[in-house]
Amino acid sequence: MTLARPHKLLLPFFIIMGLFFVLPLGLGLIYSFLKAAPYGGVIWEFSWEGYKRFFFVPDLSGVPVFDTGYLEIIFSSVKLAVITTILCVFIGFPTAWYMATRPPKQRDLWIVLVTIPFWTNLLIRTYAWILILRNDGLANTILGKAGLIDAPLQLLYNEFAVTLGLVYSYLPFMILPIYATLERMDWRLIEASEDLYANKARTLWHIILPLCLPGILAGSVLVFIPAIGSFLAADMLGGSKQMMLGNLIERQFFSSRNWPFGAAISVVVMGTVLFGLMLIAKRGQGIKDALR
Amino acid sequence: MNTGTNHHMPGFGMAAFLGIVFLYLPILAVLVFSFNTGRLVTVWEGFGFSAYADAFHNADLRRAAVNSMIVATGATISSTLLALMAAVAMHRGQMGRLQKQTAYTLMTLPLLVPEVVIAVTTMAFFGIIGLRLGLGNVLIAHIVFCIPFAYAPIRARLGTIPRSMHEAATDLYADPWRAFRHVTLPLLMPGITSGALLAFITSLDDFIITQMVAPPGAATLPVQIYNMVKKGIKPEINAAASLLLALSVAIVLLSYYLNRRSTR
Amino acid sequence: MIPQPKEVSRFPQIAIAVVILLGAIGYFVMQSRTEKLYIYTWDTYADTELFAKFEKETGIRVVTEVYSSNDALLAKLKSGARYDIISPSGNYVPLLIEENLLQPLPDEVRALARDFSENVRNPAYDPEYRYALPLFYGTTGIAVNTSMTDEKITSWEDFFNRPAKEAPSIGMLDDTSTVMAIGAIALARKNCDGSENTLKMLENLLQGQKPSVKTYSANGYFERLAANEVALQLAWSGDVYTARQENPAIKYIYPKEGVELWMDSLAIPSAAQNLEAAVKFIDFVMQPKNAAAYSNFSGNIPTSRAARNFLPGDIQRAPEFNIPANVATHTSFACPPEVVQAYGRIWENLMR
Repeated sequence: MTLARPHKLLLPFFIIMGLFFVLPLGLGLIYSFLKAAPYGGVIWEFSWEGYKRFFFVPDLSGVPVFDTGYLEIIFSSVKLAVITTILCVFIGFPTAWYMATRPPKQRDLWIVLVTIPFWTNLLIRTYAWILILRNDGLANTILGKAGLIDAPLQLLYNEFAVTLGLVYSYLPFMILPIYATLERMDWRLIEASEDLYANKARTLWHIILPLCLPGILAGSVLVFIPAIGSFLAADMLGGSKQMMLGNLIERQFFSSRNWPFGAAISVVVMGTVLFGLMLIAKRGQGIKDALR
Repeated sequence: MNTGTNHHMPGFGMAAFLGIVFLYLPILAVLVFSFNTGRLVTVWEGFGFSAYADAFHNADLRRAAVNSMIVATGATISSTLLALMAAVAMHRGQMGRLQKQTAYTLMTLPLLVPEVVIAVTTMAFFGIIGLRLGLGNVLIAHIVFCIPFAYAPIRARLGTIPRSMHEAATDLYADPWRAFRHVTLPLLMPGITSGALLAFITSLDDFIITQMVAPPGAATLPVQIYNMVKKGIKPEINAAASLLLALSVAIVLLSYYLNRRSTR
Repeated sequence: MIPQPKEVSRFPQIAIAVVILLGAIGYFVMQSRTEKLYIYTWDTYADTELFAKFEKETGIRVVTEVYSSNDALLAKLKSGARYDIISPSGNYVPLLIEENLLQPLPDEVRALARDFSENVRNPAYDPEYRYALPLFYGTTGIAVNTSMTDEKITSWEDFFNRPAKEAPSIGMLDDTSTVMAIGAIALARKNCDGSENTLKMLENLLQGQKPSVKTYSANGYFERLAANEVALQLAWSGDVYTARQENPAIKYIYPKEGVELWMDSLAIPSAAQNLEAAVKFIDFVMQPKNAAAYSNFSGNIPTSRAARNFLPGDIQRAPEFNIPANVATHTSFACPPEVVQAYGRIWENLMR
């Protein structure tokens, strides 16, 4: 009655994923417990130095001292991701609302409109901001011609540019889940609220937002997780002075030449992501609906 | 009427408009400036195709474009095939909960693990097993992360085929393979096409994994553009970027068009 | 609505099969036909015209990839990438040799050194040219964008000790050994002095400068210089020459404490895939006319004496080419491993 031997059909999938996805991740886990070779690579000796490096960094003479440097990087990385998420909510919620309140025929158009940037190349979209933000870029040229500024504004290679890049990259991830939630919402509740003489603001705060919470949370998850591990925004727009965890990891495998530490950061990031997702899986059926 | 139509919130319309402008500003900037004949990309000099001419004359860009196409095509075909088999198995197969759970986890994990982590671990892994297939290294890495993207539309489509279809099929054809081939597969086609297009775009657009995994001479277009951008913005980079953008947009629109046709 | 079997279009299946087949054939034909040479060199040494000339003369296809710091070169080689030709700086050569990343040069290549100018013969890091053949030499100084600043820079002191609250407008390189060598010159210490005191002073020097620094990156730095993105830039002489061709406002300064004298060589990695082609390439580049063209492209001084005769006049007279007699030149050399590690830590701290 049903197709015979699903195992057979799943086998190639299992083999490919097992070999080229699971094994590399496993190798990463192993590497996090080894010693760093001086110029890159690892020495196959067990060591905690990868994990210790989060808290203890060798000083100039090689003696490990307590150092909050990396913790600060992690903290500022998380902070930036949180700011990005919040900004995405502020821009994304009104946009999703607007989309959901259009006549049904128009809504498809809006969905396409919002989704197209999502599928275009992230590298190019990030690069495009260099064109807009740099000293002789679009923004400064327009502001200069309009007579609003005398000298070019430093819009690039700072936290502002990186935040902008991050918000830009992940905005569609916020819009779509909120839109999905709004689509399923029972609008009669809004009408009831307005009928009962609540003004728009109160309706928004007491009725709409709580109803949309699953969508907002889903969107936040979809924005926060990639933002934390992002690489391109800080790399191209931050001028090597801003770092997200993605950049920190990449750096360990190249200029910093500390593979075990890079692997340890990866393990920690992955572990946190998976842990967070497990929490959500246990608690949020509403969020899962929004993610669909 | 339980629909959101015509509910207004003050200022939200403006915010939405700004949101869309924000989303499209960079894309338009790249496209518009690709027709600039000036050397400094963002200083407008005149309308022309010189940037595109420069891009075509650049051997590195050409090779990267070819590499991109080869890898994207190969990854699309392989990952769609694997995803199709997996989707069919997951949808209708009899299997233990453990197997189903494992398959589901493996299918979603690539989307959750930060790309950087996949990139560095794959690089280390290829190094340690001494994999030296040139462009093949890139291809293998791409197949892995394209499978989930090909899987989703196929799985969704599979779910919309009513049970009655399967029963009718098995009534008509004794052999399950023929039942699949003549009934299920044609009905599945829109999902497969969608999945293939998604896989193609995903492979075409990948950067960080390819950057770390590609051996010398195996750079794809995004990697090549990145390396060139690091040295300075030049017209040919912008032209190449526009072409890549245009290709992605075209494929997305194609995907939508095919989707709408099939749901009529 | 049961689909008729015959109408199930075979077209998609055939189309797919054809595409795979064509793709595979095309790919393998392309791959196997041409002999290739993989060059990994400084971004400013990627002379496509010269390489095209080599392709024409030998029929060997050149595939070029670039780096902008010795550290990047080292990391790439360590991660297993296989190139046939690289251009390491002299002070990294001992390190590469120790890590077994270089293979010995054939005698015919080493013989090319006969024609070298006096001041580049028998470099300390590899006197017999066993692993590296010197190609260019130059200095590390300060590039000033006179259209962006009126400041009179005459010393490293001016470059490192910046006024507080200054807007970031300095460009630094991310080649660790260069920065540390310059730091040592600025502090009037010996290069590779690993004493705790010196290390501390180096760290303070760099950290003190950090608020005024806009970018720590050698990647595309001279384009940024020419594009008026930075007012002052730690720079290698040849790049300043090239930047000045685009932007005449750029000036090269020899600070009074002295400059770093460096040497870049051609070397063949131990993992090279095509030794023959690599040797042919070195032969080609060292021919006087080619060496002169290469030198003109990179802005650096050629090691070959005969090449100097073919250089155009204006480059011969350029300030980047002529080191003033009263300026001390400190030849950079490789530091012992512990010092390199310590430098690495200073850099790590700086980047955090």
